Amino acid sequence: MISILPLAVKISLAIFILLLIILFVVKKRKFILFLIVIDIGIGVWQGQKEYNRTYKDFSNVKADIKIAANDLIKEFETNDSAANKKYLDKTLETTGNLKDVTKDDAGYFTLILGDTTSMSSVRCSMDSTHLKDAATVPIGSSVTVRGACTGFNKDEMGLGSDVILNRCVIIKNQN
Amino acid sequence: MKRKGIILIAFLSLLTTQSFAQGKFYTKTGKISLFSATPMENISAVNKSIVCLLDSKTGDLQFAVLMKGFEFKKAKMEEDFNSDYVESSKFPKSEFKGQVTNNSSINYSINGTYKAEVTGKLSMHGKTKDITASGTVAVKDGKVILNSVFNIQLADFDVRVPKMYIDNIAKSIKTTVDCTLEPLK
Repeated sequence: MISILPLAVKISLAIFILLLIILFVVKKRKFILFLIVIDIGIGVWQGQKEYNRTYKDFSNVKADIKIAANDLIKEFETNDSAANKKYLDKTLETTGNLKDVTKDDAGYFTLILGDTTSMSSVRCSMDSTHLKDAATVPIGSSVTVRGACTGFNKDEMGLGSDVILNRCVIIKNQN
Repeated sequence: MKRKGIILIAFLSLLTTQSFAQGKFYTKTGKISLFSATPMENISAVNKSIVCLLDSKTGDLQFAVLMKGFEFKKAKMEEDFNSDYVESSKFPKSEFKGQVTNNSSINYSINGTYKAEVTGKLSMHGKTKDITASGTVAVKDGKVILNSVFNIQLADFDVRVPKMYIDNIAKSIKTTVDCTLEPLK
């Protein structure tokens, strides 16, 4: 149960126990009690902060790995379990030819990167706060996208294989 | 000549509706949402990159879901979901393979909303379980829209919630499927 607590909360918990022990040893009890109150305050504050944390916009996050879209597809197609280990949960920055842009009924955009001759693609689901950017990129241009790699859909239904990136933002597009 | 042309067009349009009626439909941008309701808090997540394939001829229905693709409002919830509950690094993919049991009562070439029953095998978190869900199949201008709401019991898939959050997470997760399928060319 303790293992799922954030680090800051663990530290305040440890300090709390330490202070409790000290409380029974020393004479300056008021001062120790004061420290305990401060410690609990910091612990609760840090816990709340961690609990309410939201994801950072990827336009302000440095990419872990930069890779061309075609190379990324190739790596997953060659050995998907090795590629999963390497790329899952990582922030990827990938550059490739924009094959297509889809917009669904709810207004969400997906950029599809890769060779037009190939069934395989990198599918980039756009961050909901950056949807407008997706509509401005011309199809056939080279585009750089940053997002979280959520995995690989191997072609089991005859629809082509896809590497999926989530919460994507467009870094730049060259015509 | 004119009449021949009209007949030809009529014949061709018949052919296209026929191919719609018998073809396969798919999407790669289907949506599945999860909803956990407890007195403590409500938690929701959505995955917008669902792959779905429907064979309108046989009623065969398949879904592929990347577990890491569920987006939560709070980062901590998403991290806990992935690392502790569904262990998405170990089990990255979830799959459903099944059938629309009343497929013969759905006319894929006529616009309309039909009630549908689906039954099949759901694989998730290393476990496979038979599930049945009801919903609707809406045919609209050559597209097929699937909607369904059903519950997944966490215990069925061996998903364990840490004691600390046992009151915050429902044992039965409301799952909503919303997929707009296009004809597969």
